[in-house]
Amino acid sequence: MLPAAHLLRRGPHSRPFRLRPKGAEAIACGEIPPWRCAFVAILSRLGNKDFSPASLEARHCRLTRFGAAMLFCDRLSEQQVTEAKAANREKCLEALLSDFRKAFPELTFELQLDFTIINAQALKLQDRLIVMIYGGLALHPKLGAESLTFIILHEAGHHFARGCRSRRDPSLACECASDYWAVTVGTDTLLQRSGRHLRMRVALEELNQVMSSGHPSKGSYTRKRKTSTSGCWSRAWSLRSRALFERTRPPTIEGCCVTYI
Amino acid sequence: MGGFINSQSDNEICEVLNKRFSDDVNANGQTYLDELRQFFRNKEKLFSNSHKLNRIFHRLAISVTGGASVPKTKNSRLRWFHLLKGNLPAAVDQAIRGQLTAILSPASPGNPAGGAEYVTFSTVHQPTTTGDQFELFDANSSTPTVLSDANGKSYCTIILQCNVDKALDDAPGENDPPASDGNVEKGPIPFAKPKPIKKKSPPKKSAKKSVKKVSKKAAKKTAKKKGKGK
Repeated sequence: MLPAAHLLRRGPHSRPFRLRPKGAEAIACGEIPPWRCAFVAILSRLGNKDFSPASLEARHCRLTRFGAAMLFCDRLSEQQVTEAKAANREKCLEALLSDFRKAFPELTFELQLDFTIINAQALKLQDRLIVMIYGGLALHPKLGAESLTFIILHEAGHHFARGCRSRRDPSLACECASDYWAVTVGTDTLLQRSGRHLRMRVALEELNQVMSSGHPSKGSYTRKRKTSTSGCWSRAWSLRSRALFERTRPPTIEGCCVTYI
Repeated sequence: MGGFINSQSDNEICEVLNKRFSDDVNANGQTYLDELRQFFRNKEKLFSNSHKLNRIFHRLAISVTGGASVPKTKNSRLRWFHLLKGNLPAAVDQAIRGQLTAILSPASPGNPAGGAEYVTFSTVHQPTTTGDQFELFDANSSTPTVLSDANGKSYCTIILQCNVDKALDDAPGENDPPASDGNVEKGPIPFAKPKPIKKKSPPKKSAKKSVKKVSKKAAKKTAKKKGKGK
């Protein structure tokens, strides 16, 4: 067993940090990034006291497996699916989607519980504007109603948000524009039309457990730049969660959003 | 695709195809899609039955990346090549060839897809009409639907639907890169060199200098004139 300070020295990416012995000082002078502290806080809150390198490594592997979705995906285990279904999760989901259908009648919300992919998706099929929520995400044991509300709003934002377009599909808004729409116009519309109030702080706390180190931040073929100079935050969850919490305006430059090519 | 959690290999595949079939302008002032159309019409019918889909995908991908294979992760790449190499249902294989051939062929009243300005590629998990594991939207049709985006540009969408909640099979023995299609290949697909981004030159210093120079020269002239006047 190692103290939490050890975790601060050793990131989930196993890259040793040059850390002065006094952890608090290092945080104060900005030597330890804030997200690392948040990671410790989350682990502590979850009651996890095992901060040994082996345990961290295992946890990191488990978390980094999130993010590979669709054709190359990890899925929720059968046991997790069964447990979630037994806990009346489906009723909660139906209530949630009923509110969304009331608030956004232009969209088609499809709950695909039989697919255990941990993701949700916005897509256009001819004239239909679809928001697809897959079972792996809808039944995820670490995600509650608040985070699911935000995720669905984000997907709706892909259809409704103005501004920067997605490089993957220019008919959809980019990640940052969708996020901003979700926490502003989307949240307000949902509240007005259905009475459902999104508590963003709770949603972010729930999402932190899934996204913290799993959000991919690499994979560039021609662009070697790791940080965006355009203000796009979709590449790293730490930036994204901050932008969501602070309701940061999205970048307005056309085509500036994260791309893998 | 608009997925909430970024999915590395899926994104790489979709983006490399989106880029190759995009209306982005390359260094020659031509769009990526027009350049591909030119190659298709004048040199090689890329989606004929004598071509293998995995090989075409690889050639299209490296024509964008300049050499790097896609997806970047080897295991994912082998699985993707394996799927494309004859492991899709025959109807899906034919639909992919049909839709992409229509997009690259000349536009006509019977083929509006030939005039589409760009194409998007994505995947979606949902039940298929045929009940097969895979299906190309819509119902394995060989005719792509032409849509208009918010800017009035026409585009086509190629959507691979997946019916089965199962990860792609591992394929450790798959060729990487896929073997050549032989004589049917008429050279590499032209590397779409992106349009260089113009760097902002720092004009301020030189402008200042020239101002200084001018002012010095002017000062000299006036001094000379003054001297002559004396």
